[in-house]
Amino acid sequence: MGARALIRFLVGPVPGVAVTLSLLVAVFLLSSAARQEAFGEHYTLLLIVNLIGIAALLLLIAFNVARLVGHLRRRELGSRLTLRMLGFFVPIALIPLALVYYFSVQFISRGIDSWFDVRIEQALNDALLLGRTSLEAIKEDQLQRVRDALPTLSELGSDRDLVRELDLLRERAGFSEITLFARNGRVLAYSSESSGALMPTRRPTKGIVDQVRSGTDYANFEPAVGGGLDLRVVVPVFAPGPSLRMLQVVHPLPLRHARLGESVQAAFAEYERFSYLRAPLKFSFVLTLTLVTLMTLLISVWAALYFAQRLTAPIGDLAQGTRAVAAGDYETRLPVASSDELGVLVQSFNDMTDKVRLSQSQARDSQRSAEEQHLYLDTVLAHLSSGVVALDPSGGVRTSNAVASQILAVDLQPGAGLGELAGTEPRLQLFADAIRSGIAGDQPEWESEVALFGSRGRQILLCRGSRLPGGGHVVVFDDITALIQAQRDAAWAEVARRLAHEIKNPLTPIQLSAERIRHKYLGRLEGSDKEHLDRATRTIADQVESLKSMVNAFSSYAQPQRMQMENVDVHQLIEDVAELYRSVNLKISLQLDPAARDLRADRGRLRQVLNNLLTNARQALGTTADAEVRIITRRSSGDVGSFLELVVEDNGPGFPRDKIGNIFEPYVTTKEKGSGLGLAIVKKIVEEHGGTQWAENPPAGGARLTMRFPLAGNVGAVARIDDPRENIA
Amino acid sequence: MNCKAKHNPWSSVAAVLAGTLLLVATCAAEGFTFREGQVRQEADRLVVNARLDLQLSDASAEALDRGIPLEILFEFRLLKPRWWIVWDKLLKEWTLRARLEFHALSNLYLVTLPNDSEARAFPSRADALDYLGTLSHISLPAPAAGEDRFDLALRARIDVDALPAALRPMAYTLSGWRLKSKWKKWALER
Repeated sequence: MGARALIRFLVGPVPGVAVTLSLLVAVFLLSSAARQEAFGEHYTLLLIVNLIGIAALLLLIAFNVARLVGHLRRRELGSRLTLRMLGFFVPIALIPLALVYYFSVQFISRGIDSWFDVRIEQALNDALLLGRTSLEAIKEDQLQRVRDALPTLSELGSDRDLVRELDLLRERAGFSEITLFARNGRVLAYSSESSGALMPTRRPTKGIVDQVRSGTDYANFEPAVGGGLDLRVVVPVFAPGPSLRMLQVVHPLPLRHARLGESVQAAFAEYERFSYLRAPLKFSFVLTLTLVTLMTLLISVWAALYFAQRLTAPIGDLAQGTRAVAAGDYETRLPVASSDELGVLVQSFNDMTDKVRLSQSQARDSQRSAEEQHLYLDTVLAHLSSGVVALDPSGGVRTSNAVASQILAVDLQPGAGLGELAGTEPRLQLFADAIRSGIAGDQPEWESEVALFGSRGRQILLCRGSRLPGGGHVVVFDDITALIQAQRDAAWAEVARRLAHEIKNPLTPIQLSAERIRHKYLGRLEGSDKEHLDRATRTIADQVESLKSMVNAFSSYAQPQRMQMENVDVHQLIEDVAELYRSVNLKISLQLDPAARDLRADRGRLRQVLNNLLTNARQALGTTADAEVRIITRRSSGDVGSFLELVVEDNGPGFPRDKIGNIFEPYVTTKEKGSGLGLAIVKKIVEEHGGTQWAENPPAGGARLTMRFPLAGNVGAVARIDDPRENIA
Repeated sequence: MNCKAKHNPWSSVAAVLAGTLLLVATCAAEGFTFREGQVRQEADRLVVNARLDLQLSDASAEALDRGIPLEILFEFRLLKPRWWIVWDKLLKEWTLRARLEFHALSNLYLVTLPNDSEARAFPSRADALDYLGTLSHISLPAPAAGEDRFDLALRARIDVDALPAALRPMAYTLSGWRLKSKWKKWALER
């Protein structure tokens, strides 16, 4: 049996009831034993059994009290109520019990005392004294008569004379029996009125002999055989010689005196005995009463403990269950121990928790479903290429997807208003205005194209808005800058191809014609004509050549190139190209990241990129003092993989603000004699490598052009554009 | 013999408590002690001569003087020792019962033995107890043949169960009434 089971057993009803029944039986048996009805020989054992039972009950109560104290210290639910009920129950049992015990002891004592009367007692004492006085007078009279006969006996010698003299003495004095003893107790002579008696009925005891030897006569009444009293007198007889003799005379008390004496003796003895038994009788009654009272008291206390705990247990369970429910535990079920009101209450609690648990389960399911839907929407929104922003009726951001923040290049936090957005990022002012305008309109859906200008250049967003049921709006927007750019690039490529085809063809006949004219007529003319023709034909040839170069450049730009992909040491390539452009007036510094060294690329075309950029930089710097070009490589990582970033920046005047948005387009140039194809070719090559590029003016001044090439392994993550025209298609 | 004293009702309660404590505390008041004795084997009989010092306690002496007769038991046991256990085997037992009472009118103590036709009277309690404590020529049957080694044990005690019913709870409870001698053993061989 484990400790928990033992505790459950001890606080249960079985031990208390068992001890109570045992005690009842033991007290009953003890009471019987005290009355000498039965079990008298086991009185002590029964008494010990009672005491052990009481001790067991005390231990049981002590255990329960200690347990209750422990519950109180731990502030367990229901313990205070148990203590309070105990405070009611125990006095209710204790006070009447104490009263009954007090008055019972009083009643027993007074009742037993009332059996005895002082006057009767005194009368009996007086009667006894009177009887003793009367007997004393008789005794003295008989003693004197015996003494009177002694001289005669002293003179006798032979046994025959002794017996005869004893007979005469007995007859003369009226004794019933007379005996003469020798010193050693031997019977010297004996005379009795009973003819059949041969020996004396009594012999002097050692005490009597010692008394007589000391010279003191013995005379006393003694109970006679068959009732009555005999007077026995023993006196010394001083015979001649050294020997001492003893004369014993036995004489029955006269019948009348004997009866009276016996009556007085019997009455006195009986009363005295009862008087003496008064205290033991009280002791006996009080002992039984005390045991019963103590037992009743302990049983009452135990019962009070048991029933208080039993009554408060469901309340404690209820309180504990309520706390559990308050803490969110709806699985708690309380045991229904009874069918009374408490049982109904406990059952109602269980029904309530069942319903709450069911509701909770349904709510949890609904929440899980909502979360799944939310997660689904989040996933869909996260994988959309469009930015999505949900706005509340006042225009504040309610939620947005990651693409929205990426497109706008701001961290869209829920709760941020459109005004706040435009305040922190002025480039988004047009975007905010477009949305405000859209949601302020009456149309449930609206569409608007917004062009933003920032450090990354021109950005064109296509925004579509819809009114949400219940208030608020959802705005979906796409960055169509690349799309428009691609369309524009395709258009330019087409133009270049047509130019190459339509212009280059007539140029050769023009050039041949001009050379023919020059060859045929230059020798024939003289003077100013010859000079004029020479200048005119040369001009025609130069211009044709110039046109051809331009058309070839366009043709080269328009025609798709076959890529020769290989592993390129970018740093080595940069150092080689930079060396060609270094001069007294131009400082080229390199910041090369060892982690961004290798790139799979077309070495020749990558070299062309560097040539174009450094040529542009040198031309842009012109006569700028401390002209410097920095070439930087670094490795960057993003959501779609790792990239090699190649940055070329200078400390020149920077890109014109009105051209920075389309600086990579053909024919866009800041130089007087530029073809406008340098950066367009750079852009084309970068895109042929699957990369992206952008131009910006750093806050510190100058121009910066950044190219981002995907590193091996994630090339597929970026759209690879081998032929812009195919991409357009 | 003065019974005029007024009894306090709570003295009984105090006595109950005191009695309970005494019962728990001690059960071995020694009022009777063995002084001397011998056992003689005569043919198939055992003849016992012994002297015991019988001293009454105050409670028992008062009861005797107040008219309560006392019965004193002399218990004889024939035992066979067993080497493998502490307790001896009981072969046979006899009890000699004597009665001691006080005769108020004659102011004598009377002793009645089982075989005596009349009571013997003694002027003092000491004389009566001295007479009672002297066992002369008590003849007991010897054990059956085959019991070569045996013990004879003797003990004297007051028979509490012979007291009046009202007195017995107190006698059972208070140590003053637990008058008995220790067992005196004689180891005998046939």
